Amino acid sequence: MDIIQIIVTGSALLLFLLTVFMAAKNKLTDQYAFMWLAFSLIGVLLSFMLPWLNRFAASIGVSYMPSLIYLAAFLIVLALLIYHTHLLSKQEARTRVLVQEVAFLKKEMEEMRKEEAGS
Amino acid sequence: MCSKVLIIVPAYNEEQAILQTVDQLKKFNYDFIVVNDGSLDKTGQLLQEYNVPHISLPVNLGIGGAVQAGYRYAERHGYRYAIQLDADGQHNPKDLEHLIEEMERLQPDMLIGSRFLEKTNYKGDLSRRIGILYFDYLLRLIAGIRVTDPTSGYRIVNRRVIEWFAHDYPVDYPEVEVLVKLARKKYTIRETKVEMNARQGGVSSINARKSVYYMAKVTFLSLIRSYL
Repeated sequence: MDIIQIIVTGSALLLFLLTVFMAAKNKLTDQYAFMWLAFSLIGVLLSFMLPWLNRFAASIGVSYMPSLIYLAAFLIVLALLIYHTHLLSKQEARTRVLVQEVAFLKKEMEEMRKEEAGS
Repeated sequence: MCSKVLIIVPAYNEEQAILQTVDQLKKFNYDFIVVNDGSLDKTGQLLQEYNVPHISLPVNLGIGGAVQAGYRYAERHGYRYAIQLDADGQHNPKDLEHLIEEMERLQPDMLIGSRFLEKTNYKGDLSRRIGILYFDYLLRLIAGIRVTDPTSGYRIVNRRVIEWFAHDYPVDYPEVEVLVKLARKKYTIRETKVEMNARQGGVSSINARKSVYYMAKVTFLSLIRSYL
């Protein structure tokens, strides 16, 4: 195992352990915990497959294998960003409704208090 | 509280103008609700102190969220018409009766109070007028309607639109975007002449930088939502 493979495997394992720790401490909800566990496991798996990845890159005409990895990683991160922006938009819409509901409830409570004080 | 018309007054940091606007509104026999959009100044305190009908959003949602809260209130309380009126005193409450009469006479889904349909005393700066002209052409192009004052917030809508806006209303710069949406769904939009004043307090939320964002955002979203 050469030095680069040790670094890659170590990083992937570190990500895997971090995800397990965060999931165990409920710092990630189930859905995201599972997603990151899957990603980190794929990372660990790929780190053991570096020779195979070299051959695969060469077979599809990519002379420098890391650029293939970077491209794949970039596309995955981009997809994740879009997914999270979508989730954020959904949460924002839900928060807006909640804020409005809180204001309505506050008004109703104040009106009830006034009615009680009046009677 | 259940007359047929509700006046929605969104207010954010309007301590200088809000009481004057409310005093003017009280001269008319219409229900109104001030939506205090998480103001940081004394707007909320003044509304409470002077017993003004209001709802206070615990955090600032922006103009879209505040106005939508008003529409949701109108929907829940069974109002037939809802009118948006700015808290800064730009919209003249004297035009309220005219707006309602024209709404009943013409029966559109939305009636916009326009500064430019006929000659009025309104004196807007050049950049604002260019923006308005731009949106006028944009609406003609993508929605097939002619609106002389597309950015006017002084507008009245019927029950059908109240129900729509209660559940779907743009977050920011909503005026033009809702026109595109309504026109594409074949809702009828008409205009009538109104007078507008200079603002009595506060500062405009749209500066030069924001106006470029406003135009780009509305154009982009209107285009994709119209054709996709």
